[in-house]
Amino acid sequence: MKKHFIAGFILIFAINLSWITPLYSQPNTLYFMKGIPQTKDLNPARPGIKSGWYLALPIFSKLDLSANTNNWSYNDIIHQGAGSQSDSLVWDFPKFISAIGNKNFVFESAALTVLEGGFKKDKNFFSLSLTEKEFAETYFDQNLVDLIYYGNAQYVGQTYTSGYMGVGAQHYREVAFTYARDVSDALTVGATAKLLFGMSAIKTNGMNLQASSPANGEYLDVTATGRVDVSAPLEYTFYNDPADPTNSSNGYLESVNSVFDANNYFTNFSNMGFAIDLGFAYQVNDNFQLSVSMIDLGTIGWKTNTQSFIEQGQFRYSGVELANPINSLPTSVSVSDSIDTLVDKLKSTFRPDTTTNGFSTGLPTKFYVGGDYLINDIFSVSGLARVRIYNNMVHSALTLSGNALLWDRLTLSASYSVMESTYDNIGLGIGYRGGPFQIYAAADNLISPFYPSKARNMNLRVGINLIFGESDDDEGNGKKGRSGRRSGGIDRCP
Amino acid sequence: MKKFLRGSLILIAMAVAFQSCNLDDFELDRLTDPTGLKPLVFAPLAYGTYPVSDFITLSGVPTNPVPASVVLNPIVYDVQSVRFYHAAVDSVDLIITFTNQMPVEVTYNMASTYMGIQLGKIYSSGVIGAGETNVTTFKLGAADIQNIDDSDQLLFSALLTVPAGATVTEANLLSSDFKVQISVKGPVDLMKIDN
Repeated sequence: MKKHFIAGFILIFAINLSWITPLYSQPNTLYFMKGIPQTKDLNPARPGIKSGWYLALPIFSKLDLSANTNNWSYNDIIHQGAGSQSDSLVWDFPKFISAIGNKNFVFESAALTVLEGGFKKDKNFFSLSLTEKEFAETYFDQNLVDLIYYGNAQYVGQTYTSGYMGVGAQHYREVAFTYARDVSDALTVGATAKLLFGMSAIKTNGMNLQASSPANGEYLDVTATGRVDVSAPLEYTFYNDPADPTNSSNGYLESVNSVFDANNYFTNFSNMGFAIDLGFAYQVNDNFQLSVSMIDLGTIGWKTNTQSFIEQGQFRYSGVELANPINSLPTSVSVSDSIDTLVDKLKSTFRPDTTTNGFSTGLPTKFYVGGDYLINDIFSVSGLARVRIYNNMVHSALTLSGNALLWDRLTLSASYSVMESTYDNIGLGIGYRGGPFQIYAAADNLISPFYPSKARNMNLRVGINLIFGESDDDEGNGKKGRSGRRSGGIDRCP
Repeated sequence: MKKFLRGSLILIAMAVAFQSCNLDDFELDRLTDPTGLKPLVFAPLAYGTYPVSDFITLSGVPTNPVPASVVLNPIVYDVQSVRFYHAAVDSVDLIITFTNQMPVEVTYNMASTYMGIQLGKIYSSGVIGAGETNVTTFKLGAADIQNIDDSDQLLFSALLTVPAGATVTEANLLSSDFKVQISVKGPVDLMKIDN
């Protein structure tokens, strides 16, 4: 049972990696794709439309899926056995320990845009979208893994700190309004204002376990700190014995039950938040464009269904105190009674305080810096650096891509990315336009879907648009475009 | 429109190709039980501090010598209803730190019993010299741990002896005590704890 629980957890992560269920985050490869209006999601100053209007397919306007780790994979802990176990899957904890780093994480996200449209007239671009988003992250220090695998004996005479561990997850609805303007022939600036409605969230903060002992192991000093904030349709039951206010179990969390109601959940507009995207694109010369953006700087205030647990406990454990066998020999000491006493003391020491006050959460904020160099009318090479900041942690990625527009309807981008110390990310973006219909997809790692058990980074963006309008680059010279900066206007793009 | 459909078919074909991935590693019915997950656990188990004078009838005259030997009768620990999860533990180092702060030697041993019948061996015997701090490790194998798990009592006894050729007076004892600290160290198979 325990085996399947653990394996199930890993499978959920693995399935997420395999595109079977929705995940999300915008691939870097999308950033420089030509003629895709949704490039404005990565930089509001690069809407990818030169004039006219577009409407994304309702209900399924675009889907973003993403999952990644810091350079370890499912196969680092579960893989095919060898020899007599060649028909089995086996656990490999030593391999897992050697694969992880000092600070580790698993991140996944998904977003489904159900409504989106926009238009560009003269120098101004406007768009409006409605998107359901979710993300989840678990992070942990190698110290925690070492403690579980090697045990605490190695730390006798030292101070052990688990450090850096926790979880974060949010589900929210985003209403985004984007405005971009061509300030001059060379400069376009853009901003997206996002009104957010939180559905559910969990956030931990300052989770840490510290243990120290003298060299003779006489005692263990254990300190646990941390805070867990939850906003979700859950009902908490705490033990309470009014007849015995000194009962050490009073105030202890007894059970958590779901009180999910779809109508209440999806029509909850009480947890409001706000976020903003900012960006600019600057045409340095006829061939080179520099662009910079900041995406998802914002916060959500959680007010409904909130419950927080705050832990700040310290306990010295010396074991069971032995009785003095004086007077009536031999003395019999009940070990179970002693253990019960110890457990009661532990309960009272480590019972977290609770509150139903609201709390706030931030969003994973991304920063992009990109450069795009036009080789000829149909081909350009680009470089993009992305930094994602969340929970005071910085995650970086660097992408190099070649981008082409073929036969005025097929756009292709091939990319290579270094992400979280992984170097095997070969990506592809492809879009095709027939009449007003446009379908596009982009991913930063093409290999991962074929080998999900080895995947460290996966993401995918797919979307369908209806595009009507004209480019301001009707001559097709590909060099003086506005929003797309050069070729790639909607009259030439997929 | 035809061209769009053709392009869409190409993309769908690519998507199908992406799904043609190897999912063999996710067939968890073939997953074996974890092995090797045996953290080496250290934990203090018990402690006690005893004035030796509690066990000796003193005359009240500081210069009077104490008896040559004093038997500290067994301390009996009732371990009924306490599980030791012997299946999860192959071996344990039972570490006993016996601090003797008086000028007498201490001899000690340990045994487990069920219904008054000794189980397994008696772990004997150590001698702590006067004024010394002694750390003794009882190496317990799987059979010993099974015995402890089956026991209803654990006995720990000691014999206090005046060192040969020495004379210990009551003055030496009035403020003297000895301290017992018991710790355990051993690999614990986490997957068998709930067996």
